[in-house]
Amino acid sequence: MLISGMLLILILMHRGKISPAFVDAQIILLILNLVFIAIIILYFVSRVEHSILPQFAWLVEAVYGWLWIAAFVSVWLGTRINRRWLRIAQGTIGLLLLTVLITVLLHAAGYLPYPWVQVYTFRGYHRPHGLLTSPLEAGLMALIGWAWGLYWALQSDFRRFAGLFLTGFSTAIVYLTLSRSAWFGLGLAVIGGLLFALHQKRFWLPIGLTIGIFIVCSIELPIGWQRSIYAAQGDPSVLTRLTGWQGVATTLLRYPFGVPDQLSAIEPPGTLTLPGAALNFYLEIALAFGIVPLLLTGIIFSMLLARAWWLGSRGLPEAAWGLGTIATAVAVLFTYPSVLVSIPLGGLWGMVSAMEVKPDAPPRLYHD
Amino acid sequence: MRLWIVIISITLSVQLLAQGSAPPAELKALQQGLTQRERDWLQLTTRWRVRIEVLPKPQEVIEAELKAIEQDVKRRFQRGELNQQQMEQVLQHARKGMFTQRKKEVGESILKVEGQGDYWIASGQICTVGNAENKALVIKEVLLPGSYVISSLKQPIETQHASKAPDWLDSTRVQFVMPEARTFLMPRNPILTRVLLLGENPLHWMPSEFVSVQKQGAAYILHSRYWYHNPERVKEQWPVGREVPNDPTQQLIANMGLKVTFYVDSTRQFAITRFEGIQGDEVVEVNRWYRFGSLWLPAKIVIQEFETDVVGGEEVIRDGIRYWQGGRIARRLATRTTIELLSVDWTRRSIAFKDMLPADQSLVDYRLGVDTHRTVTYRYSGRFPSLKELSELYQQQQRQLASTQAGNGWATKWVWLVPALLITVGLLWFLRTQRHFIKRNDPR
Repeated sequence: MLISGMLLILILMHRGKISPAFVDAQIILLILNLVFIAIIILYFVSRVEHSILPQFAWLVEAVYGWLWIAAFVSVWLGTRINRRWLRIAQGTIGLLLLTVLITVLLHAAGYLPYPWVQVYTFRGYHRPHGLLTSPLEAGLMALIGWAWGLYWALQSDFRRFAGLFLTGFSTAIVYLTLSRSAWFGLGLAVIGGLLFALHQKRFWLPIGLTIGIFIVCSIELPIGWQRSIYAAQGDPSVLTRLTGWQGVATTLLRYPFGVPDQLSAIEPPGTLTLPGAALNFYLEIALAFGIVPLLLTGIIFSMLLARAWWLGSRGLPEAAWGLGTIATAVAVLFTYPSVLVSIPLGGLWGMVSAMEVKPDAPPRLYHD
Repeated sequence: MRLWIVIISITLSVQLLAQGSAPPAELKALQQGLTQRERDWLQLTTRWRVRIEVLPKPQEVIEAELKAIEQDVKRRFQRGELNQQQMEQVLQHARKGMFTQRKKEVGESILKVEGQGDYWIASGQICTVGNAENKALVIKEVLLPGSYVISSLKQPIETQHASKAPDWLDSTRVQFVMPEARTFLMPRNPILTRVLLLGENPLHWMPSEFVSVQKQGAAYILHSRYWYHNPERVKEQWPVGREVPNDPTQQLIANMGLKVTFYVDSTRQFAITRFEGIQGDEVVEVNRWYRFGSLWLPAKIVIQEFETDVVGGEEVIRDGIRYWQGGRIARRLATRTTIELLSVDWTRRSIAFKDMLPADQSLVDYRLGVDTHRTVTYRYSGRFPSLKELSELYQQQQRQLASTQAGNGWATKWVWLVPALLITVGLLWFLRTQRHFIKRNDPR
C-alpha cells in the first residue's frame, strides 16, 4: 500500500498535478537528506568496520523498497523549488561519483583500497568494482557518470572539455566492469544519441567519443566480448536469471500483493521465485510489493522514456540526462541497484521528471 | 637405607608404567613414516581429476522405498497432518526423486592442491552430480594438517572452462572456518580424501587408544575403532539411531562394531595402498602409482561405496511400534569415485598464511556446528580461538543479537513513517493544487 501510494504521488508529480508548498518541501528535503547521508556514511563505514554489517543489512532491508522513490522526490523538489539545494546535492553526488569511478579505475589497475568478500572474475580477468561491492553496481554508477559527462559536453563553456573527459572516462569504466547490463544500457542510449545527433550536431562529438573509447577498450581488452558471447553458451548467471524470471508469473498469481517474508516456511523450495532471485529491478518490485506497484512503476518509466525522447527530439542538452535514463532503465532489467546506487539513480530519474515541458516550445539549444 | 629402597621402587614402577603406556614399536615406526610423508607432501603441488559415478538403484529397491514412503504419507494424511493437496505434492516429489535414481549420474571436477610447507591450499570446482546447486561454483580452501579447514566464498564459474578453474582463484581470500571433516572440495568422506590427496597423516584423526597396528612384511595394517562418518566422529559402535525404529536398514544392521583399516606400504614411503571403511561399506584401492623423486603418489584411486538395502518384506505394527518383517538384506555398489593424478611438481610459489588470511580479517566460524547454524563472527587476531573460547564468544554474540533485535523491532515499527509522510504531504499538495485550479477556473 505504502509503495503504491508513493508511486502514485510520483506519477502525479510527473504529470504536474502537484505544486509543492515551499516550507513543507524544505522540511521534506531536510528529512530525506538526513536519511541519505546516514545511508551513504553507513555504506562505506560498514566496508571497513564489518561488525556493523548486521545493523546495516537491517537498515537496507527496511529502506530499500522506497529509497529510490525518496531520492526521486528529493531531486524533483530541488529542481522545482530549491535550486540552491539542488546544486549542493549535485555537488555531493558528483563527488561521490568521481570517487567511486576513480576507485574502479584503480581497482582495474590492480589496486583495491580494501578487500571485499566477493571476487568477480572472468577467465582470469578481475572485474573491477572499486569501493563498491560489485561490477554491476560500478556499471550503473558509470552510466550516471556518462550521462553527466554528455550533458556537460553539450554546453558551450569550460564544462565542455570536462564533460568530454567524463564521458570517455565513464565509457571506459562501463567497459572495464564487463557488466553486460551496463553495456546493453549504454548501447541503447548510444543508438538514441545517434538519432538525436541527426538533428543536433553537438551530439556527434560525445557520442562519437563514447563509440571510440569502446572500440579502443575492445581492442585492448577483447575478453569483454567473449563474456557477451558467453551469455548464449550456458552462462550460469544468465541461466539463474532465466530460471528466476520463469517463476515470476506463477509467484504473482499466487501472491498478487507481494511475497510474504515467511514464505520459505510454507512453500516447498524451487516452485516459486522469491524476492531477490529475479535479478530484475521491475520484477523485484512486483515480487516484493505486488502487481499494482509493478504497473505503477511501468507507467512511471514509460513517462520517463517518453520525456527522454521529447528532450532529445527538441535538441535540448537535457536530452543527455534522458539518454542516461534510457541507459539505466534498460540496465536494471538485469539487476537491481544496491542501496547506495538507488540514491543517485532515483535522483537522476527525479531530475528528468522535473524538467519543464512546454509543448509549444520551439526546438533550441539550451545555454545553461 | 629404607628410604633409598622406597625411592628406587617408585622410580622402577614409574619406569615400568611409562614403558607399558608407550606406543608399540610398530605404531611408533608407522607414526614416524607417515609424519615424514606428510612433511614431504607439504612441498608438492598436485592436480587431480575427480569423477563421481552414482549408480542407479535396482528397480525392486526403488519400488520398496516408494511403497514405504506412500504408506507413511497416507498415514500422515489419515492423521490429518497433511491435506489432500500436500499429500499429492509430497508423493509427486518422491516419485520424481525416485525417477532420478533410476539412471546413472556422473560428476567431474579438477582439483589443485598446493603444499605450502605448513598448510595446503586446495582450489577447484565443487564436484557434484545431477542438477546440484553447487555445480557451477569454484572455491578455495586452506587445510591445516590435522586441523580445521578455512574456506573462501563459493564463486560462480563459466562451465566450459571448469578444467581451468583452480587458476582463477588466485586472489581469493579465505574467511570461513569449518570443522576438519567439512570441506567442499574433498570428495566423498573428506577425512579420507585429505589422507589420500594431501598425503596427510591419518593418525591425526584417530586417538592412539583406539588404534592397533600389525606388521606383515613391509606392510603395516592399521586398525581403528574411531572414524568419521557423515562427517561426524564415531567410535567403537556403528552409529545406529534409536530415534528411527521404523527404518528397516538401521534395525537390521544395528549393534555392529566399528572398525576401519588402512593398509600402508613402507616400501612406497608409507603410502596408503588400501582402505576398508566401516563394515566394508567403503573400500579404497590404489590401482596405479607414480614415482616422483623418492616419493610415491597414487596415480589412480578408486573409492567404492556400498549401500545396504532391504528388499521385500512388509511393515507391521506391534504394540504401537512399527517393524519391518520378512525382508532380505542386499548389498550393492552405490557410488564409484575415481581420482586420477594429472600432474605433480614441487611447489614453486610460496604464499604466506598471513596473505591468505591477514590478521584483522573478519571470519565466520562454523566449528560449533554447521548444521545447527551456531556460527560465530570475529576478527582473526593471528590465532584461532579454542572451541571453549568459541563457545563463550557465541554466547556473548547471542546476547548482543537479542538486544539488537529488540532495537530493530522498535525501528521496524517506525520505518513506515517516511513513506507515510511523503504520501500525506503529496496528497495535501495535490488537493491544494486541485483547489487552486478549480478556483481559477470558477467563472464567479
